Amino acid sequence: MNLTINKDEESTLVGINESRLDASIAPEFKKQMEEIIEQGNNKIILDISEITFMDSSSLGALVAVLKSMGSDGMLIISGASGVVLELFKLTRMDRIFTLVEDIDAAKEKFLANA
Amino acid sequence: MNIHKTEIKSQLSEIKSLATVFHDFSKKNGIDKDTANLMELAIVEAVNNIVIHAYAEEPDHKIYAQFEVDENQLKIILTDTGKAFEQKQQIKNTKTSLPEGNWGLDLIDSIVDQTQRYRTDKRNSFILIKQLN
Repeated sequence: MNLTINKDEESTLVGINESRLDASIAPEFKKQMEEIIEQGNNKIILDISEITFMDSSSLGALVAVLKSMGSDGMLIISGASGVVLELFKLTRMDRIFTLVEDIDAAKEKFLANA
Repeated sequence: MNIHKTEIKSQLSEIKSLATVFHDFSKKNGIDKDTANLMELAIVEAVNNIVIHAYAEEPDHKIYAQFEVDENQLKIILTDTGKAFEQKQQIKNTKTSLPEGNWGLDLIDSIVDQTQRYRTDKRNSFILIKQLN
């Protein structure tokens, strides 16, 4: 799967260039995200605005990523909408993850936490 | 009542094609997009379950899907010839742990109005029913 990475002073923006995040690619997604974290990126904005479908396997991969960031890491999910946002709500994972509408809102959160 | 039957191989990578068939069926039968999108999630969760648990991710089996719709309800019948459904698969996530899975069956229950499961002649059937009115 295709992840794009852009770093600035406050955070690392990871974009997912897929429309679908499901059980067939969740393990690869988790592996790539863990590699990004291992490279020292612990303030991450994950842009899922291109994702139109996500299943619980992928949500589980996201939880694993969140756990691997540790207590001094921060993960913000940007751009969840439609049934993807519903997935977070139905599983109550919207109470666990920081969800924002767009990348600007995510960057504001990092600045506020700086 | 409109009915469409299809089948896929028991591979996670095949589930996307089933979702496409379902969306085509939904569109042709005037099911609203929000309902169709949520039902896609329920179907995918159910089929993930079949691939992973009934077939232990062995790729050379088949999963049969039948979509039925009338003015009152949408019914999805998923059939496989894998291992019988085990009650222990319905593990509830505990409040004390941050779960990394086991949401599938709860998600299905949240989305649909009724589910039925039965096994006859070594075939499992999982039925999802959504009221449309």
